[in-house]
Amino acid sequence: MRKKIVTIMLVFVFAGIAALLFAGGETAKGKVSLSFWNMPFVTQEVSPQYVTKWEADVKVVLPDYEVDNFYGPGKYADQRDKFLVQAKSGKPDVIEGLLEDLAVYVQKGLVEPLDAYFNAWEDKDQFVVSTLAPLTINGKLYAIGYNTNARALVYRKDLFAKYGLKVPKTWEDFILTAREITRRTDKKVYGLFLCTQVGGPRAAQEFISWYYQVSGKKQMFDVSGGQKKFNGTVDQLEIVLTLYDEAFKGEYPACDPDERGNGWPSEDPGYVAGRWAMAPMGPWLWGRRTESDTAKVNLEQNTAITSLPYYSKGVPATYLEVKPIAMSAFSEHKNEAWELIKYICSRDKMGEWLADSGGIPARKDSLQLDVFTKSDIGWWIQGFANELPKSVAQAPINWGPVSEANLRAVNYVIYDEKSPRESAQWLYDKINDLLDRGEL
Amino acid sequence: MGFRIKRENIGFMLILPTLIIMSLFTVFPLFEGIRISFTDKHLLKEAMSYVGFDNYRGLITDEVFLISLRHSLILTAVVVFFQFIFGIILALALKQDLPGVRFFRSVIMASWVIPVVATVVMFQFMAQPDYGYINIFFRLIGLKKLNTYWFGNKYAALPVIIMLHLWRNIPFYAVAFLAAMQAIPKDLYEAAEIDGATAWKIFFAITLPGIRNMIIVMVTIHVLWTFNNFDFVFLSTGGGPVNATDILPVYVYRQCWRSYTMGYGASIGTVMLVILMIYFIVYIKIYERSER
Repeated sequence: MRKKIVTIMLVFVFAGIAALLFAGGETAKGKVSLSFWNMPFVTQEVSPQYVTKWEADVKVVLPDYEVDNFYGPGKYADQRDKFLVQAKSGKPDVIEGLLEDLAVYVQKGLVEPLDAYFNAWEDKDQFVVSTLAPLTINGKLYAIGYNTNARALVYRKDLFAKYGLKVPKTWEDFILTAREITRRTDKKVYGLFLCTQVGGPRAAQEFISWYYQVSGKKQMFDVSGGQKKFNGTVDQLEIVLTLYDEAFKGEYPACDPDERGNGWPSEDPGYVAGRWAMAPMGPWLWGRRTESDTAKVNLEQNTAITSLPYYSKGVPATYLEVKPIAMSAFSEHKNEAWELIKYICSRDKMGEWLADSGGIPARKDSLQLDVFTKSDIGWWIQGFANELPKSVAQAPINWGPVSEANLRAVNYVIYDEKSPRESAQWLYDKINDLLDRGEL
Repeated sequence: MGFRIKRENIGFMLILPTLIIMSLFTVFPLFEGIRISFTDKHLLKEAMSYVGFDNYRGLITDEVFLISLRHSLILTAVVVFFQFIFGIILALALKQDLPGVRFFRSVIMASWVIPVVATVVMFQFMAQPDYGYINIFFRLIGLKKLNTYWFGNKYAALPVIIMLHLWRNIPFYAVAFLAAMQAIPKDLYEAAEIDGATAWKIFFAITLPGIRNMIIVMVTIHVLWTFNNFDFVFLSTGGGPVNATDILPVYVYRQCWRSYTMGYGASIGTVMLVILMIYFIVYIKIYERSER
C-alpha cells in the first residue's frame, strides 16, 4: 500500500515537472502566446485607458495570437537585468527599451537582426531614416524605433513674464536666470531641476546632452570593428561638471540642494506641480497633465519649450532618444513576434500611443494623423521636434558603468567632495580603466 | 519482492529531500560563488578565465569597497548594540503591569509586520524638507536651520538608516526578551527581594543571566541580518549621497548588475562570507568557554 502511494505521488510530481518544462507558447485554444515587455504600459507613461484599448484592439487585429498582459518590470534597469538573465528562455518575445540597453543586448547576442523582416515590409519607407541609424549596430538593424525625441528645455512662461525674465540661451544666463527665480519666489519655486541620480537613465541622458555641447557634438566613444576609443578629455569633463557645481551653489541656488541625488521621479512630478521653473525634458511629460488641475494648467497653459541652453564656447547640441522595439533572438515564434512588432509600429498604433503619452512617432505617416495635426498636442510635439536637427545619438557601447561613473563624478561635485577639476580627473581615469578592463 | 527500507535508514530518508534542496539552493550557489570570485566572469562576455587572486588584490585598493566595508561594520555594530539595549529596556517596560500595556504588547510588532519597502517610503516622506515630520519637529523646537532632506544629507543619511533598522527591530528584540523573562521562575525574584537586593542587582544577577540564551540567539541572528541587509539602503539611498551609505551588499549588487562584473562582485561576497565566519567562530568559542 505504501509503495502504491509513493508511486502515485512520484507520477504526479513528474507529470507536473514535465508540464512546466515542456509547456510551449501554444495556449489551450491553439493560439500562439506572445510576451511583450513594454515599460511605458507599466509606469502609466501611457494612460491605463489606452493600455486597455490597446489590449482589446490587439485581440481583434491579431486574433491568432494571445499577447500576455504582463509587460515586464516597471523600471528599465530591472527590465534589462531580467532580460539579460532570462532571454534564453524565449520570453519575452518582443521587448521595448532604451537605446543604451539595445547595445548591451546586441553585445550579448540576445536580440534578432531585423533587416530581412524590415526590408520585406511595405511600410519601411515611412520610417524616419535618422531613427533607424542608431538602431543599426555593426551594419545590422536590431530594432524598430517607435518613438523619438530630442531633449529640450521646458520652462514656466508665466513666471518668466511675471518677473520680466528672458529665456536663457547660454549656460551663464541659464544659471543666473534660475537663481533669480529662486530668489524672487523665496525658494517656493526653484529655478531649475537637474537630474543627479546615480544609476538613473534620465540623469545620464542630461549629462551627455551637456557633454555633446562641450565636445562640439563629437561622440564620447568611437566604436569601430569591435574597438572602442574614449574621446573625452579632462578639460571637457571639468566644464560639464562645473555646470552642475554652479547649479547647486549660492544663497539662492538654481537647483534645490535637497534634491541632490534625485532623478526623474522628482523632476517630472515636481515640474508639473510647480516646484521648479525649468527642466531639461522630453515629450513624455505631456502624459502627466491628467495628474491634477495644477498639472494640467502648468503644462497646457503655462509651459513653453525651447532649446537647451548651450555652452558659449561649444555648440548647441542635445541627446537624441530613440525608443526601440526589438525581437528576442530566442523567441520560439519569430514570425509571429514580427507580426506583433509590425502592429505596434503600424501607422495608427504608433500614432495613437504617442498622442496619448506625448512623443514624436518614428513614422512620417503617423505624424500626419488627426491626433497630431488637429489636436492640442501639436505645439508640444513640434517644440521637441525642432530640436531633432541638433541631437546626437549615443554610440553603441555598454553605457551602464560609464553613466554611473558620470553621475558619481557629478555627485562628488555637488556634495563638495571634490572640485570639478578633481572630479573630472577621477572620471577620466575611471572611464579609461573601464575601457582597459574591457567592460564597455 | 517489495523494496524495504532499513529502520536505521528511515531518518536519513526523511531528511533526504531537505538535504537535496539545501544542496541545490545553498551549498551549490555558495561554492559556485566562491569559484566565480577567482574568475573574470562578466555578464556580457561568453569567455571567462581564472585570474587567481586578482579580484581580491583589486579590493585592497578599491576605495569604494573599503568605504562600504567600514560602513557595513559600523552599521552592524551600532544597530545590534542599540537594538539590544533598547530591546531590553522595552521588554522590562512591557513586563510591568501598567495601564494599557496589554494593548501595547499586541500592537508592538506592527513595525516588524510592515513590508520593508513601505517602511522605507514612510521614512522618506518623514525625511522630506519642509513637510516631513522630522523637519516639522525640528521647526517646533526652534531648529528650523536643520531643515533638509535627511536621506540626501551625506552626514545624516547613515544615522537615519540606523534609525530605520532600530525602529523596525527593537520591538522584535523586546518581544523575544519578554518571552525569555517570563520564563524565569518568580521564586528567584521573591528570594532576591527578601534578601534586600536592589533593582539593579536583581537585573544583573537574575534577569540578564536568565535571558542569556535568548540574547545569544538574537544577537547572532541580527549580526547576520544587519551585515547582509540590502533592502534598507538600496531602497532609501542606493548607497548615496556620494558614497555616504554604501555598504557591502549594495556594492555587490552594483558590481554584478550595473557593471556586470560578476567575478569581482563574487569576490566581495566571499569577503563578506569570511568576515561572518570569523565572527561566528570567535563568538562560538567565547560562548563555549563561558558555558564551561
